[in-house]
Amino acid sequence: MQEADHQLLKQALASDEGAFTALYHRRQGAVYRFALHMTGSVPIAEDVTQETFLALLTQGARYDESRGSLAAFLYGIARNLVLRRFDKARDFALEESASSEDVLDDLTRRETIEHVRRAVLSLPPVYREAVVLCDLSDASYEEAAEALDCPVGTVRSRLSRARTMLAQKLSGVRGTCNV
Amino acid sequence: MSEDRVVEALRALRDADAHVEASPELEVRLMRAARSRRRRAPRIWIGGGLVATLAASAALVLLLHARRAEPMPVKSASPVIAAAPAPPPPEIAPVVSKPKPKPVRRQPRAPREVTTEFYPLVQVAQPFERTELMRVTVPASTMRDVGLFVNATHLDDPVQADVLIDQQGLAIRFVSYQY
Repeated sequence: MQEADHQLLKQALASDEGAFTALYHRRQGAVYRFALHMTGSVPIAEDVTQETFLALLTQGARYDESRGSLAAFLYGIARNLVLRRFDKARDFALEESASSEDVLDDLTRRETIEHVRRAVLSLPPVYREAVVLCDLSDASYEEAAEALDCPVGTVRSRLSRARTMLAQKLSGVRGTCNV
Repeated sequence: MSEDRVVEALRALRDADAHVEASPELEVRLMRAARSRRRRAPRIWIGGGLVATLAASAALVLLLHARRAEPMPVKSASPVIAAAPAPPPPEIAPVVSKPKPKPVRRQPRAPREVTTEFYPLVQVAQPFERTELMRVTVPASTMRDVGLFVNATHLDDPVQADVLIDQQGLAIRFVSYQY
């Protein structure tokens, strides 16, 4: 039977490298994808992932399982690290692609997905993180609220606003719905 | 475009990236850094070459320093030893033509030094009865040797470091500037 996250964390904090490795294997994908979708940069996503798990070793004692899942706790750490990067370099958001123009009629699935990726990256961070957590990750609204340190209602409203913005950005892309 | 179609497009992106994970190299780096942090409390042993280089440069600097002037003794051997010298102020060209009243210029504020904690290198008794702190330049890969994360593209970049020598051994901390 798989050990729960909080049990693995306790063992990891007690210098159990095996537990830390298991926890990393279990959660690194989600953290990495969150950072990647937020920044659009593989090297930065790797940096953020490494720093998130190192921070878990130093700040893990602050985790309270009664307040939320470890996944939400990790998303929260990763989000702070990403926002710190945004503060250092404010040009992470890609330029909005030419959404007003139709792209080629025979958009391949891959191209369309890349278009959606760019549209997500062009969202302001406050809306981007809601979309990345709720639509591109497996986070529940409650987990997203925990990670973003805001009420669930705020997550819902930001998500709705973000989807509206994405709809405008993607409106010129034919085939988006056929992916 | 309706919200449903946006959600559908986002789902396609999520599915396309569902198996995207951090590279195996990241896990190796992370585990090395985690081990290094755990070991940091007692001591950190790093490559003999680096220690020898640092020790030699430390001895050389000490020798030169001792010939010029009696070094200032440090009151305690705590990690916060002494303020390192600030970078020299910008040079101002001498006035050659007839003097004119110059507008008062604000001197650029000296950058504030930010340092890491000290990382012990060796704990062998040194032939010094006093504590010495000296500023050296080392490759960024040295930071990785003590467990700090360095982007692989910057391993050869020069970084400033303070080498601390006292009777407890040799330790190093790294310096950056905040403007």
